Amino acid sequence: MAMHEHHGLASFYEEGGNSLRSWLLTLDHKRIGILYLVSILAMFFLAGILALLIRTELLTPGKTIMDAEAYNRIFTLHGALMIFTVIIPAIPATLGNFLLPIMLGAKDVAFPRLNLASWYFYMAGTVLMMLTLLGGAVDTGWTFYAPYSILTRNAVVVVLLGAFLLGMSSIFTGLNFIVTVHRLRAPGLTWGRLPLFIWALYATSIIQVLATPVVGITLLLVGLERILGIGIFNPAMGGDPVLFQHFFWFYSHPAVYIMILPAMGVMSEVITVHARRPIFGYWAIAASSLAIAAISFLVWGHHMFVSGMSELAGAIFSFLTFFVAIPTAIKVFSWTMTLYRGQIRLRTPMLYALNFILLFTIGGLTGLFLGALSTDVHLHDTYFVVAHFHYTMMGGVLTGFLAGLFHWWPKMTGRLYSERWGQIGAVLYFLGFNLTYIPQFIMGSQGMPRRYWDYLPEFQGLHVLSTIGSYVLAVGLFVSLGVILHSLWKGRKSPANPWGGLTLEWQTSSPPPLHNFHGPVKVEHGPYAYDRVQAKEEVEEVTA
Amino acid sequence: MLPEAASSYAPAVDRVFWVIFGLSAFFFLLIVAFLVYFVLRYRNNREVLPAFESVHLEIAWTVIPFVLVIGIFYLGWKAFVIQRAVPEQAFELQVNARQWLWEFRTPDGQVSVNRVVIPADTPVKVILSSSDVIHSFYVPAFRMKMDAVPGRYTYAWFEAKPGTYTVLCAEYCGAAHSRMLATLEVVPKEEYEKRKQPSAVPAAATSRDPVAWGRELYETKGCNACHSLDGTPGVGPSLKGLFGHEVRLQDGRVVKADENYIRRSILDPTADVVEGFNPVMPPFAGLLSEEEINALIAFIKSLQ
Ligand code: HEC
Ligand SMILES: [Cu+2]
Repeated sequence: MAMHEHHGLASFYEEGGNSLRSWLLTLDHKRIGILYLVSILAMFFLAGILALLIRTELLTPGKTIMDAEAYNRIFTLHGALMIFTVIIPAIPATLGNFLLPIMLGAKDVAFPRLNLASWYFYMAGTVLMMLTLLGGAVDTGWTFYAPYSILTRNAVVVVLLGAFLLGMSSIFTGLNFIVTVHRLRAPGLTWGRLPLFIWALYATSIIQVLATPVVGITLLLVGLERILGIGIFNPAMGGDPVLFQHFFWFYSHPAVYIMILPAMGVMSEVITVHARRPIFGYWAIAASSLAIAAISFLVWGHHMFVSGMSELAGAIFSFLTFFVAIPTAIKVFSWTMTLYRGQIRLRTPMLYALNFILLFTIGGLTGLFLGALSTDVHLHDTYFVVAHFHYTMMGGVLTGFLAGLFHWWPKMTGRLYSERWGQIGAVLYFLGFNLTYIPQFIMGSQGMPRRYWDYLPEFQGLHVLSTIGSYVLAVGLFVSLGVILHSLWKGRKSPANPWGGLTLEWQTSSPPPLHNFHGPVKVEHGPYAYDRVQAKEEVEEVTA
Repeated sequence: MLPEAASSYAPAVDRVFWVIFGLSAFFFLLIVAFLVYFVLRYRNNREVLPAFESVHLEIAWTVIPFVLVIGIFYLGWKAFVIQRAVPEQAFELQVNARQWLWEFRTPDGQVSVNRVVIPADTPVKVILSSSDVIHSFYVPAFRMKMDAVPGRYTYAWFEAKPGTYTVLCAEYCGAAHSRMLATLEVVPKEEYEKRKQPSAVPAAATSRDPVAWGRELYETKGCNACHSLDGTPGVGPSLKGLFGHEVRLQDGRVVKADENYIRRSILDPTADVVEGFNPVMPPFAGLLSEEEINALIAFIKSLQ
């Protein structure tokens, strides 16, 4: 399998040139991955600034820097941008696009044109969402609950259309990945030798293709109701607002697994490479991804325990919800056991992976409080929920994304970053993160509702702590961003296999040539055979 | 972590909370312990150690969490049944939510806004409705929350110790969502019976200083959610310096803010919508007595 002799093929950056056209009309999955990466990082930056505005406003009860109406618009935009333009596409569209074909030993995805189209849909959807900023923005919350979203007088339809286009873009990516995994695996790459990142992307794609149309239709129905005045969700016209919630969560609950599964896939890669150890429980992890994908369709009602839904329905949804805990727990235990007898290297990606295990475990365990009926009645729609989903969505998905970004950065750009500053960023991130969200768990338990511009004075101390934490977290992220940007100018050139990984992407040069490999690819062992196959760590020094 | 437990079922809910908390803390610390140990022990290890696989371990960490989560589900369900099962013959409190205040109606026909007195140690059934969007009736001290959904009734119940408790709106409902608070005054039964005597309130009212009373009403009837007293506009215009000045209306008319204008603004706000504001003020017709309207006008007059 090894092809350490490179036959001098130019990298994909050099091959196609660097004209605007070479980027905007490219069909190369790697370039599309980079296009996505740049757009998604820009949106992450913007939505992150909005988060800091929110936290700053909450430093004092009442008005600190903005009035209630501005605040409501900002938290809506923060949520909608983070969910639809950052967290959902972050891993599949950037790391997935770049790496999935390479890890399969393929030249490209199955439908390169569809792939490019998905980026254009993404951009169109994103631009629409941002346009609403000019028109006064939207104040419905990213959940668009009816009938508020039907009655409020602002540009809801534009945001809905934006979310609809972003949904299309994610369906395109999903379709592409499913077909690519089935059809374009290299000789010898059996299902049992697929890297777990591929399994995770595969499970994700299935959910994307099955669930996204439902939310697309739901959002269109809200739009139709606003424009044509058909009573679907608005009770004043004979509609049913709770029906909206059913439709919405039927997509949006599976969507949280669309978000987290790819991050779990990244974890399996990063941990095995930086612990130089076969994954513990390969089949359990692969199967648990599929199990999560299946169960995720049956639990949407746990967002609605106090919506007036029947108690029996509540009980069934609560019961099913707890089943998701099992495959999730299996993964966490398996990653932890993978470290046992490993050759652990605490490089930046590994630090993010450890951050992931700790933060995501907290996110998962606090989900138990919300899955249980009686405690959810108290905690629903409080800061406890806010903290819980930030631990899973940010502590999980974005931490996983950062782990993957640092892990594959040398492969994608051909540059090594400063290990020391990468590590400092990861540690600040961890400290800031917990300081931001632990106070929110406490506030939520004490009864501080979410989406509150004003609050009772007794919560101020915790809000101040949380805001300070968010600044530390921001500094950590800026350091990390600085580290990777700096590497582009000043970084040393990366060897093909800096960490000594065994999956196919490490067998080609960094960055890879246009068609990914320098010769024919054949797979002769599993992705994590570190106990039998030795690959040299070409970058050895570890500064932790 | 949890606020005071003031309803009959709050301790049952709290027990579930602490059981989950204990289990979670145990598993979290277990994982942390293993992580820390492995990282310290195998950091920078350069030796390939023998493979390790264990089906027993995998079965154990599948089956044990499985049993535990079913246990948690059961505990959660058991307390939920109590939260949902309204005792027979409960005191019925009708609550209507609207942007952005709570209207209460007790069985003896008393109507009030954002403040209600109810008897202690009595099961109270809260029947919720909404005039506009979804709100959620949340009393942290009771561990009680239920959405108020337009077009249907939902319900919840509690039996509380005497005390004063805050009601919050927990479902996002627009500009003044975070100001949509109400006060539940839970008083011993005997005191409740005494207060119910209707003669008490008006007699006291007429003898009170109308400006002070108006200020109190400004807070208890929820005007403060939308109107400031210091000149800064909120959801609605500030009431400071309103009286006696000209007001520009949306339809282009300019009117003088006299007693009649203010009265109309309170009882039928859409009749004269102030320029630059949305017609979102709820009509207070039927919710304020004649004396209360007079007191509010006196109070607004005093804000020069
Ligand atoms: C839900 C928010 C809200 C609440 C609660 C509310 N108002 Fe208003 N109010 C408004 C808005 C918005 C306007 C301006 C639009 C209009 O004239 O209808 C307004 C207008 C007024 C005006 C006319 C002001 C002017 O500058 O001409 C008066 C007087 C007034 N309200 C008094 C009250 C009083 C007294 C209460 C409490 C009993 C109250 N409001 C409760 C939102 C509210
Ligand atoms: Cu509300």
